[in-house]
Formats: sequence, C-alpha cells, structure tokens
Amino acid sequence: MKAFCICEKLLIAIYNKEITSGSVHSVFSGACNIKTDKGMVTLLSGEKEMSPMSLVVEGPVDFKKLDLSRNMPVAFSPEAIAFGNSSPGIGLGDSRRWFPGVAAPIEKCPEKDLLKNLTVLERGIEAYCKHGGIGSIVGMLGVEMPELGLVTMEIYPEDKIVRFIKSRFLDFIHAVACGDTGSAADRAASVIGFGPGLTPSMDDFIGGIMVSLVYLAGYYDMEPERIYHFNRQLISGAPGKTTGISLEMLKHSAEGETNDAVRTLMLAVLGGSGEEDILDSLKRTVNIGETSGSDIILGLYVGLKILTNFKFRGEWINEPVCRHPERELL
Amino acid sequence: MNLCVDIRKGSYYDSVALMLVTKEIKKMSGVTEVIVGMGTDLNKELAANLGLSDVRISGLTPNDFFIAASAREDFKAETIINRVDELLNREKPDNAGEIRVNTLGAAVRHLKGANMAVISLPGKYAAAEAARALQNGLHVMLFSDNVSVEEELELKKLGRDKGLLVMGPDCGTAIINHVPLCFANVVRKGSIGIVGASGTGTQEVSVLVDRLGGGVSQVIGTGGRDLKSQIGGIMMLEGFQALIDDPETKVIVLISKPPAPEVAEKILSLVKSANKPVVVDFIGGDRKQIERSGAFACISLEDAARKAVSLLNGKEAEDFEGFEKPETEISELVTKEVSRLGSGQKYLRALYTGGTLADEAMKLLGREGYGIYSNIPLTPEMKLPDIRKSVKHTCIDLGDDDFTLGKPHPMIDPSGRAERLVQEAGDEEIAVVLMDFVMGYGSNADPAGEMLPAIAEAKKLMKEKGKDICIVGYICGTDNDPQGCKAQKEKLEEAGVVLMPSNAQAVRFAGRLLDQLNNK
Repeated sequence: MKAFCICEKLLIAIYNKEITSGSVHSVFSGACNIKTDKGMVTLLSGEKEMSPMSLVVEGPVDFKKLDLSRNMPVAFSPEAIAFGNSSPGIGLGDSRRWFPGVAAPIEKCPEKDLLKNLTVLERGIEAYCKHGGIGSIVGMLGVEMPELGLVTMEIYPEDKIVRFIKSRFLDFIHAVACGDTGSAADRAASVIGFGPGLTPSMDDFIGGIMVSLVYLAGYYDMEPERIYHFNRQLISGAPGKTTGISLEMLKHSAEGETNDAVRTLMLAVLGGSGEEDILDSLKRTVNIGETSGSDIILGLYVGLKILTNFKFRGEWINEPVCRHPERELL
Repeated sequence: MNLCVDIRKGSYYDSVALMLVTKEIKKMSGVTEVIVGMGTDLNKELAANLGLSDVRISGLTPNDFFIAASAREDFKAETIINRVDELLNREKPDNAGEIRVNTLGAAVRHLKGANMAVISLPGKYAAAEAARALQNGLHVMLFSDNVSVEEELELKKLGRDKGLLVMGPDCGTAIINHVPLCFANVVRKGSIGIVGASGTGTQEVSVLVDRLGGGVSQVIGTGGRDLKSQIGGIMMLEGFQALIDDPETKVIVLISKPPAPEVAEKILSLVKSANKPVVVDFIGGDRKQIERSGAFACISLEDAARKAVSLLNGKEAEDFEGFEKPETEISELVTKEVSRLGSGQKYLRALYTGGTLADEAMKLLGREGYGIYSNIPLTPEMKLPDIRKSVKHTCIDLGDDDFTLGKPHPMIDPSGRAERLVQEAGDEEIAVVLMDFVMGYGSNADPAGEMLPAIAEAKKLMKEKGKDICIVGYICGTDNDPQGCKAQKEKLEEAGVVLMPSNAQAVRFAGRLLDQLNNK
C-alpha cells in the first residue's frame, strides 16, 4: 500500500522522530486510528477526506480485512508505516502533502457576497444535511434565539432529549455569541460529550463553530490569537468529558485545523466561489460519518451567523474583557 | 418496565453502525425507549434523565460504548444483546472496493468516459444539478418533476447550444444505444427511432414494434411539457434531427399529446428534410396537418408501431383499427362476457398506471360516443368532482400527481390500484374494468400477481350480489422483460382477465362490451 496524501504535520513529526511508534486504537472499514505520544494518527481509505494528522492511501481499502487488532504495535519511519504483523505497511515516499490549517491570507469576497453565500449554505443545509444528530437542537436554537437569524429548520416536537439539553445549550451559545471566554468555557464543559456517535454530535457542532471563528477572524482581520485563545478555553474542560477521538478532533478544530471538505466549504463561502462550489463541498462534508458532517456544518453555520452579525461582531471586537491575559484593555 | 443494558468497554464502532443499532433496537417490539452512545458524562446524565441508568451505566468512561433500553417486563436483555451483536458483526457487502461518490464532480472524475447523467432529485434541486451535468458535457435524463417551466427552458436551451440531450423533466423512458433507462422495456435492436414526449406511450410503441418483429435504434424522451408553447418543442426537434442524421435509423416515430399549433408546425416542417419515413402520433392530433407535411398520421399508438414496421419492410402503411383476432372470435367473446353480467350493469371503470394509455383510452372511447369522467379529463366538464370516487364511465390515471404524493408510482407499487379495484366493485352498476399491466425495468417485479387478490375480491363482491364483472387487460411488455410476459399472461388469464395484445385493442374490446350492454 502507498500513501496518496499525508498531513504535513504528521510527516514532519515522523521525519523529526517525534513519532516513531504507536499502537492500534481502533479499526473500521474505512479508517484505522493509531495512538501515539503525539496524539491520534489516522489512516484513511482512498475515498475519505484528508484530515489533520492523517494520511489517505491510494485507492479504496478495507482496513478490517488487514488483520489489524487493538494494541498491535505500529512503527513509523520516513519511508513507511509498518504494522506488527504480516500486513503490508504503507509506503510514504512520493505522497502528496496536505496542510491542515487555514491557508493565509484567505481569499475574501465582498461582504454582500458573503451574505448571499450564506443563503446558499442555508439551502444546502435544508436540502442535504441529516438532522438526526444536533439538528433538532439547532432547530430549537433558531426559535429561541431569533436574533441569530437562523434558517427555519423542520422542527420536531420538542422531545425529552431536546428538553434535557436546552437551557445549557442556549447558555453556551449566548456565551459564544458575546465572545465571553470565561463563561463560554464553563458552558461548553456542560454540553461537550453530548449525543450519539463516536465523536458525539455536540462535539462535532462545537468543532464546526471553532473552525468558523478561526476563518472569520481571517476574513474580518480580527486578532487571530484572541480566537485561538477563546477556542482553547472553550475546550479546556473537555478532557474526561468525551471520547479520546473526539478530544483530538476538538483540539485540531480549536486551531482551525479540519478536514479537507470542511476547509473547502469555508473557503468557498468566504471566497466568492459560486453556488456550485459551496454545494459541492457541503455535500462532501455531509458524507462524513453518519451525522458528523451535518453536525459540523451546523456548527460552521452558527459560527458564521454569529460573526457576520454586526451586533455580535461588535461584542467580539469591542468587548474589553475578552479575557486574553496579555491583551491591553481597549 | 425492564431496563436492559449492554456495555462494551473500550469498543469503537463507526457512526453508521451506531445509527443502525439505534434504529433497529427502537423498532423491536416491546422496546419503549433506547439510548445508544459513548459513556460521556452527558450521555450518562441523559440516560439517568430518561430512566435508563443504573450503577453499570454510571461507572462507564467516555470510551465505553453502551446501549440502554427500557422494555416490557418479560423482555430479556439477551434479546437486545444478540440483536446488537448481529448488527455490529454484520458482514458489509463486498463493495469495499467501490468508490462511493457524492457529488457530480467526483462522479465525473471517477467514471471516465461517462456521457449521460440520470437525475432523480426533488424538483427544487434537480435543475441545478442538471445544469451542472450539462456544463460537464453530459447528456441529461431528468426523471424529476416539479421543475419550473423557466428552468426547463433554460436547461433545454443550454443543452441545444452544447449539442446535448435534455430528456425531461418528468421523463421516465428512454433507450439510448440499446441501454434502457428508468422505466423501459427490453426491446430488440433495430432501425426504428422514436422520440416521445410520453412515457408509457413510448413504451407501448417500442414494445409493439418488438412484437411485430421490428427493433429500435434509439428511444429519446423529451418530458411531457416539451411541445407546449413555452418550451417550443426544443428537445423533440433536437431528437428528431438526431434521428434524421443517424444512419442506423431508417424510420422515425414521433409521439406526443397534441402540441401547441406553432410547435406542431415547426416539427412537421422538418419532415421534408428527413429523407426517411416519419410516423407521427400526436395522440388525437390534426391528421390532415400531419399528412400535409408528408408524415404518416396514426389513429393509435399501436397504429404508429404497425405503420413504422410496415414502412421499414417497404409495405403500405395502412390504418389499423380492428383486432388481431378474427371478428367472429371477438364477437363470441363479447357475447360470452356480457352474458355473465347482471341487469343494470353498464359502466366502465378504467384504472390505468400509464397516463398516456389512459389518455388514448378516453380518446378512442370518445370517438365512439362515450363521455368518460376522469382525473385527467379530455374536457373540463368531465373532471371527476372527487377523484377518489368514480362516476358513470370513469377512467383514472393512477400515476397522476394527486395519487402519488408521498407514495410510489403505481407501476412500482400497485397496491393503490388494488384498493381502488375493490372499491369499484362496491358499485353494482359497473360492468367492465380496464387495466394496463406495464412491464420492464423500473416496474414492479410482478404486476399481474400483485393484482390477483384484488381481482378475486372484486369478482367475489359482485358474485355476492348475483352479478359479475368483466376485466379487460393489456400487458405492455416484451418476452425479454424481467417480469416474464408469458408468466404474467398466464396468471391473468387464469384469473379470468380477458387480455388483448395492445392498449388500443383492449379499449376497443371494452367499447364493444359497452355497446352490447347499451344495445348500440
């Protein structure tokens, strides 16, 4: 097997011998996660989306057929990733490199076009997103916080699950909307880990919000460190509250690092690509997991609606208590 | 209530598997509530909130997988555990090597050489995807309906400018380079090219061409609105020209409901440049206009097929308006069927799955003086006041939107027609039921078999009143269709259905029955 494409950060870590070994954490048909001292490394089948600290092999692969078992040792070298059995390793030579973060500077369209692109995104959400994860909760958000101007999603009768999480979720969103770092951290801790999925739906949603904040900081020329600090605080209470895989995802998202489909979607919305590009990348994102992709999109969407709203953006920019320890008070 | 808990520590399952488990456990009889997830604090708290927690759940870590369900007292936890095992260990189909794409762009990249996109999306989104396909150099078959006239016009102009077909919207039938698309029959390859603005009309002609020993070169669909003024017959013209230019096509057949007058003129003006015979069935359209153009006019879809095959064989194209069986046999059959009916029985109920076949039935019977009520009436005054309740002579197109909102088309799922048939049998005045059985790709695997219980029930209901019912049927299919025409025919004849070899002949036979009942 050969790697078709590899995350640049992963390759550098291997070259610098920061990652030399690990053990198999979990195996799925389309993916294999390897636990290392530098975090989770993910091997992906050819049709999957490039993601932070991952590589995509050439062609479709069913990892379950490779006889990989939990805790099996894995060795990393600049030439290959080798498994502790007779399975073929993965050659790393000649693989393409992929950068997981925001490619700065981002191409920006005029704000009036950004707002038009948001309506395209809304249409895509309506048409293509699966609402079995965080969907009904975001639908409730649209009703309870009309100032966000969220598109009206099909609202199911408020069930026990929505009622359970409702007040904490609303408090969390209020805190994000105001850029209130201190309370956002506590409130995020009260909702992280909620929902179905190996990466719980709420975590995917929060990941989406954080990624959108990073990209919008670039769009609006906001101080990027403020956003990174906010995001890191947001997930500071996450360890122990969610799955190991989800925690990794949250950490990457806090830095604006996300998979290729989500990145392409954000760049399409912010950069003046046409409707076709926005909907194509939205559909790519929906295809991630069962509802993970849709939950991420909803997070991106809510983040976009917050910071494209002049009132909320004003709170973010003018709020002197962004809780950044080194920032001078405005 | 019984709390059933299944815990799998340090186990990881992908989201698709977890969603499947949730759905399947919820469906189990006896289960009232279920939560499936990882043992995060919040999920554990939710479980407790829903009354689905105990000390086993509270001790979980976020990396532990759990299922907690409340069920009837007598429900065993093992039942859930076994079912979960079954679902999670289910062998995936061996298509792990397939690339699954979810965008048109990816599909184009992965399927090199693709030249056709078949689009079946909700109408709201279909036009955009169709445009994208055209921009990628693909011909389009647009099965979707609810595409606006404006969008259709834009798409067809774009297709025309790029030299690409736009078949649709609402196009259900095509055979391109001998490949049947959507609802289509397995038809012999040959030299008769068809352009049709009608699904079952096109199927009828292609099937009869096959039955008469001919074959098709291409069958191009245009969608039902193509020949209206707003669209101007763009795809009919493009398809017609394509067949004129195709060396493999020796005879051309055009099928549509009557076009807008200016559109008919445009289409017929191309006939002169055809240099090959052109048969035109503008179902019920202006015969003289068609003949003036040099084309051959038709009195039915069957007539169009017969003329095309005759012309291909260098023979005269004469009108066919009778029966294949000898007249004596038909007369005897009519007398025999009528003799089983009771007094007062006089009405026809035609229950069609194909709209064009229903339309043809009403036109043929209309020529014989019968006014037919319908959900797709020939004239406004014959519109059924309530489409779910027949009146006097009624012909229903069960494939029309009013009957298929949120339901499969009756060609796919005949249960709606089965129910209607039994309902009709509650009316003591009905004498004749007329039905089509459409075979081919896309259709139900056993159209005849699916209707047998309803046919038996309808006959039983009539017999209980000392009456009977004459069911006349037509199988639109070929011997090579997946359903097996021969077996379908045997089933229906065994159930007492009188089968005719074309829709036109079935309608004529029904007309003869009505004539005798009404002493005409």
